[in-house]
Amino acid sequence: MESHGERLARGDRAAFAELYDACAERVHHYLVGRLGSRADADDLLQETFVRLARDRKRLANVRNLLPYVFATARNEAHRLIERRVREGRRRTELESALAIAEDGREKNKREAAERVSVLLERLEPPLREIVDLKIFGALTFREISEVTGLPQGTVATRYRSALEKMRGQSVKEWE
Amino acid sequence: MSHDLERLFEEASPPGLPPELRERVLAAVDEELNTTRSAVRSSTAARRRGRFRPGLAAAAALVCSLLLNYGVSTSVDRRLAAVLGPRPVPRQAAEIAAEIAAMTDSQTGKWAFDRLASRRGQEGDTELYPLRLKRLIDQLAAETQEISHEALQLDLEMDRDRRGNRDRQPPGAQRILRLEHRNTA
Repeated sequence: MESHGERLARGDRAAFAELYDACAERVHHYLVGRLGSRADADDLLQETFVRLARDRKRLANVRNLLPYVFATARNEAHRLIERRVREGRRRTELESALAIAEDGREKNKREAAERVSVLLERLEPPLREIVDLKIFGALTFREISEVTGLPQGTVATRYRSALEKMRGQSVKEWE
Repeated sequence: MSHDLERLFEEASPPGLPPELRERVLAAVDEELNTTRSAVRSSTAARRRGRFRPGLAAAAALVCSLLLNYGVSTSVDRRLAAVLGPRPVPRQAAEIAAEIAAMTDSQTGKWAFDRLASRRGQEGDTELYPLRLKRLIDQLAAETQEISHEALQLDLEMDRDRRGNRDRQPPGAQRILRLEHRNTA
């Protein structure tokens, strides 16, 4: 029987729709956390799927599609961040991207978004990336290891280190 | 993750996907699939059209040159025949061929005439070739006589052996070296 990757490699539209339904929301969350902008996350999600369609022949040999899609989205996000730096654009605030409330709890949401944004801004980029993938992308350590190419132990250590730092920061702030 | 941080991140989780984004993304994917398919088709067709094959070109040029050469030769021969008339039969060749036919048979004579007639165009050889051929025929005739004589001698010796003559002379080399074979009792 034909695998999902083989159907994608063949250019099957239904297979791309299935892939979108399976992982688009998590990839979008990750991109929002990484870029701090919903509009940029929308554009980059589209760009990620277009890139997958363009290089679809490679998908036939991919065993686990989710980390592959995340790796593609990560590369696209890096490109956009580099372009922003080149163009001297001010980094978009994560707070405003996370503060959009859907169920009327606007005040709580805004406060939480503000605190999360502050905590993440203070992390070093390597730690921040692992937190983005783990919390917003909801990936396992093994999947993060596949996405970043880092050993699984390194990923786990960085994540623990990031949590320690954020916990320390939040205790200081609340005291 | 501590409970406070967990709650905080849950509270600040990004909102869901906009519903119209799915259509937008899948339309872009569709467009990309169509574009790459048509690009692959056109590049394959262009590759097929534009591929230069040196071996095929060389073979075609060779065949063309041979055909042209043949055409030019035929046309020149035809024009010369029209202007000068048919080629004259060489007299010497006809005489030699007649002699050969008299000695052998008419087929050999015709073959000799064809050979001689085909060589008449070569300068300097026209005079010498019939002479050389005549000499060759004489030599062949002499050798044939010699072979006939030897065959006759051999027949005579065989007859003598069959008669069982004990006083026959041993071969020359045996006689000189005194190696004559004597039958024992």
